Amino acid sequence: MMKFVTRRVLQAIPVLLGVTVVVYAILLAAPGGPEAKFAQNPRITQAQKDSFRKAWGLDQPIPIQYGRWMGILNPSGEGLGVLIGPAGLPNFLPTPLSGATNGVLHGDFGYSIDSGEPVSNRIIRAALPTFILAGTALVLWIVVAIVLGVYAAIHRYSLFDQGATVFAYVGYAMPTFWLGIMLIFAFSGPGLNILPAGGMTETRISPPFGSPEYWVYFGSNTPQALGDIAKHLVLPVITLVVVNIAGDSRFVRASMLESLGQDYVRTARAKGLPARTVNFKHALRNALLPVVTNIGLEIPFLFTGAIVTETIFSWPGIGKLTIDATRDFDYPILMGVLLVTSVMVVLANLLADILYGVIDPRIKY
Amino acid sequence: MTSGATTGVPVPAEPAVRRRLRRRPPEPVRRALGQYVALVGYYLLIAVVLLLVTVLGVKGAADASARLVPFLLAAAGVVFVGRRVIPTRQRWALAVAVGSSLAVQLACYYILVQVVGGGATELDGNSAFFSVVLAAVGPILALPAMLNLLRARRWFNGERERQIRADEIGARPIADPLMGPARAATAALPAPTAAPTDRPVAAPSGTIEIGAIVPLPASAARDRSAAGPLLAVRDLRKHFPIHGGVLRRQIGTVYAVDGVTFDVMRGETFSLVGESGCGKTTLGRTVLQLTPPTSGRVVFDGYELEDVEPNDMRPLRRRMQIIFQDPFGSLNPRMPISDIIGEGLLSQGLTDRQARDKKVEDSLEIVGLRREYTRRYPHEFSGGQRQRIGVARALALSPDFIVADEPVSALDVSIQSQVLNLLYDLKRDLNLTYLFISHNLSVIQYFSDRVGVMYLGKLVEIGTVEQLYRNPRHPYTVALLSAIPEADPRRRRKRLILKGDLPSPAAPPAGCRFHTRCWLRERLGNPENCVTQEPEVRSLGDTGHQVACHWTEEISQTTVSEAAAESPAIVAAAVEDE
Amino acid sequence: MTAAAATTGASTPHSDGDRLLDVRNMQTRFHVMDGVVPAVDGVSFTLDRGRTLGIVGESGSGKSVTALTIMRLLDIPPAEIGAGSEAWFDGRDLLALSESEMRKVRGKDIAMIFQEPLTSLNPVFTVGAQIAEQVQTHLHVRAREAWSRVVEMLRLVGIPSPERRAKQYPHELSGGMRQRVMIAMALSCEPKLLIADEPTTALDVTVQAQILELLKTIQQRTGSALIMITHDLGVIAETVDDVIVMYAGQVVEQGSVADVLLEPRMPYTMGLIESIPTVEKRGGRLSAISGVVPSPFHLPPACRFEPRCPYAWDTCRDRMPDLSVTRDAERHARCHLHVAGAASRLEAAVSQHRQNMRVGRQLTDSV
Repeated sequence: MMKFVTRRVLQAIPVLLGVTVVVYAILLAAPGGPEAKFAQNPRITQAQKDSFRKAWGLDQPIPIQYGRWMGILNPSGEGLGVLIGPAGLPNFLPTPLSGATNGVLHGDFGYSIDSGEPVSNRIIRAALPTFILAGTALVLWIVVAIVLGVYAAIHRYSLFDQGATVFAYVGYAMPTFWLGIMLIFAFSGPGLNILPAGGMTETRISPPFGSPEYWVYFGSNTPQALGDIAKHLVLPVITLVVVNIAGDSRFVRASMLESLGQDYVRTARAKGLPARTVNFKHALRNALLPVVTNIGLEIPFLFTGAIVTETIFSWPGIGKLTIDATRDFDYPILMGVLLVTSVMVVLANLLADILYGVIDPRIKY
Repeated sequence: MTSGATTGVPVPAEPAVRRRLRRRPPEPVRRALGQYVALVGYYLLIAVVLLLVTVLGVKGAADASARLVPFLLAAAGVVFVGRRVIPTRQRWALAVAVGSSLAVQLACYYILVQVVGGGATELDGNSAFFSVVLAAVGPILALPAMLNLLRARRWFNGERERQIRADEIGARPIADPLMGPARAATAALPAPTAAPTDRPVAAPSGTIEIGAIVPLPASAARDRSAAGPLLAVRDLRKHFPIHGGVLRRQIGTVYAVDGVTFDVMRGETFSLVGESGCGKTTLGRTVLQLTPPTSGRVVFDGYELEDVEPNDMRPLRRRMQIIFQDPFGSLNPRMPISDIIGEGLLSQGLTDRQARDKKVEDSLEIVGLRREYTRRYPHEFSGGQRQRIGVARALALSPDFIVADEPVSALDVSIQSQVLNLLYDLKRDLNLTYLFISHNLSVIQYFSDRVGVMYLGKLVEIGTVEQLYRNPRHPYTVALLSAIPEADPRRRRKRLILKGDLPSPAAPPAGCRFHTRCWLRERLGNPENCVTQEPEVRSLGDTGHQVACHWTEEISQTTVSEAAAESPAIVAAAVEDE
Repeated sequence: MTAAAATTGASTPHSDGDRLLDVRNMQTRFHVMDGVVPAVDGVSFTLDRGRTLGIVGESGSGKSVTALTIMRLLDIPPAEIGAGSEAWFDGRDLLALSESEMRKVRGKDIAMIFQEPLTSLNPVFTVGAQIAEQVQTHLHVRAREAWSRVVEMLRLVGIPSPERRAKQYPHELSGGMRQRVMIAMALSCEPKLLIADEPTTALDVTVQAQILELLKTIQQRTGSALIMITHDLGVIAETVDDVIVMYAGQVVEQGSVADVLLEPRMPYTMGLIESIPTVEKRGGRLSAISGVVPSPFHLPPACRFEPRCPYAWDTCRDRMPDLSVTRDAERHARCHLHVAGAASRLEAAVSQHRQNMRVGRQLTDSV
């Protein structure tokens, strides 16, 4: 097992390196650039533009920009010194060795062009709301999907199964943005005005989420603050669950049906075991093997969030951060989000593989 | 397309014309080509590093890229020269390949020094040194490729054409008594087997009777027509690597076929029998070169089938066909029958659609299916019919040698006999030679002339059906025959039951591979040499009966019946291996 | 002496105390997309305690479906069990039991062994746990006692170091060992009837010999009855007392194994036996049954074997033959050859069969 994990981690390194190159290339290929924001602004002089480009290092050749962002090159070095960190060793080595602090390899994602804050701060601040929203939704939809799928498979072709099928297709076909807006319309607009339409907290009574003042407020009014968040969670969570349950419950159903048709299920029945044991011990355990892999692959969602849903409900998470950064041509933030997302995907894949090995005794690494 | 056997007309024996076979580039050459490709990767790496270094110095990416152009061209040139020139196998190709490779490497090195030393004045001394080292690695990396080419120089010098004449194979104690005295030709191979002779079988002491098999005349000599065996297999091995560990290195080997030697005579049915995992299927495929052997030789009708150039292999492929076990999996469900059968014809250059369809219909007719079936798809046929289609596919190319890999195992009893009859008739009418692979001892007894018994990748006994079934000389064969369930209740008998299961072919037991399950060894008080010494295949007299057992003389009616009597009621499932 | 009467309830030499299983007019149909498949069509047989019965037939003959119907393991729908079907086991009609009552019979009174031991064992549980589960369900013992029973059973079926093997997963065992585990599992609750559905088909010949030997020994030791379902006449000859031959969902012949195999009285059985390759037939062609098994959607209207039968005449195309008693009262064959007036035809068929069994050219003149 250790060997397998080691091998997979080693394999992940070139993959992630490739990802940085690809991410960089994609953003380069996109029209505009950090300076596109004011490219058409007549009040900005050429000198100002040049100094902006110089300040952000945009005047450098692209490989150098990439090298600096990655932390391979030392921006303050000269000649061959660009490759050498302050401690005299190659710059790309970890900070304790090379003394270098710049670049992704040293945990430095740069600064937001828009706000000047470190990118990592912005990402960390957006991560918590996303984790709350996506986590709630993920747990809910996985549980519901498994229950729905298993029940539908056991009672195949029953009324329940057919109902679940219809629900799945409707849910699958429903666009997130449309469902979100309809929900807002129904529960916080002209219809029932019982749930907030957006945001994460009631801004009239609490400071903005994530600010130091908020945590002071949270400390003194914990139940109230939690209730507030819960109320704001309802609509976005429903949106996410309805849309995502469809695919997963179909997957669980198919997997369970396959499992129910296996010889060992027939053996279990021939042994005289009660139907419950046959279904939930023998069939379900095997049916869940592929499902677990699928869940493992959905884990990055906890971080990446749902861009559309977060935007509709003004949820201050990663999804909204991404959209905002795109709108503002905030390349460092985009780069940071994309990179962290990729790392999450790679890690989730690894996790899914390991999990599979743990629950399936046939897999040996 | 020669010898066009269409309907049931026997194919006339092909004249003994031995066209020369060109060989595929040998392993070192193929490896050298791969190494050159890897070299390009290295140059690309230099390119990136150089790009960075140069850009830092010159602050002009375009300029830097321009300087890299000769390097990339050089790298591409080496590969181009390598891939195009080397396979021509001309004598000058070696010189061109090695020479151009060396020249290009040196040119790159020179250019780099020029760039660093002359052109790129802005680089400091350290960078210059750095770059020169990088470039110098190129020629060093090219060395193994060049060495590989030089290692294969014999191949460039014309030894690529390899052929063994039929009478060279096992010429000395030659298989066939009708061939007259052994030829003077130097025996290229240690002669393995001898086919049945017309001399009376010199039965080794203690003949046993397994079951009540009717005694038959010992002589089964028959005219084997043309010279020598049709197929000669010498010390053939096929090993499959097992990969594992962090770096996916090879951590083990499956010895699927491990040193097998036998001959198949013209017009004969030679059967391979053994349990699953004994390597009989792998052997069948390796013989046909469907999977390359690890070592050993396969000589088909005088042609050495090692590393034969694909173009030269094609006419031989036509003559060697295979029938697969699974009538459901081996036919592409999305292809009509005409394409399934016609594909082989097409690859043999029969492009004329009408002629091809004619031939397809003919072969369908031969196997007893209607001509109109060509437009149908496999799912429209029953298992037995599909197996007939599989046979028709093989026959369409008018082969003279067919490997039948468990052709009836997947079929019901009543269908099985239909297909066996078909194979029997075809053999008689088309003068075919079969290598018949099966685990079913009754079918083999009915169907074959000679039988080889396989156990864990080795042939433990070879003999005619009469020799093997009436007088088995290997304890495994004895047990195997004893295990056949007998459909005739009058022939019920006490069985000799083996202990345990087949050991893994990845970790075959030391010494005699059968010693872990051997009843004879147990009866003899576990002699040491079964574990320490691998038994040689030896001939029993000059009967052609061969066996690989140290203690074959100890096998007698008494030992067998004693062992059978002692077969425990519940046999231990596994020999304690751990 | 036992494989019994077509019309059950009729006089038999046995008291009801001996009779373990009495299947009467069993009919099982499958409703599939293309129509209805009569997989088992009016099958009747009986089995006494401690006896062995072989059911032989080719694929699609309905032999496995018969067993699954007795065990009530078929999904209904698509399967449907005909109204008149009865399966009396130990005084109770299995087909009339409630599902929960049937559950107590399965695994406890009737156990089953399947063809493919690898897929028949659950891959994610240890073999010991899978046997223990059955022991606990039926014998209501605590986990520790169940476990010692598991080890005892594994030892009984000849698995070395059973304590260690019990903790292994199916994929860690060889094919023969897995089948031994299946047998241990089936025997763990001391069933009165053991149904083995092609138990050795997936195994190698030396392992098959082991498993058959094991089944015979254990059956003698425990005294349970055994139904052996197989297509292999050799296996039948080695293991059973009585045999029924099935073709296209019907019983076509039944009798003691020696009678049926040595003196078959139905052309299909004759053909099956003739088509076994033996040494006597070497060098000649096998006498094969022509044609293929009829499609279940287009069964011949009268005798189902008629299109493939070398001895068929007009009557065979008009009327379905009954499973009639032949000369010997214990022998039944579904064939018009046994009605009065066909005696000469029967003579001809039997002598043809004898000749086919002997035929085969001399070894030396082949090719």
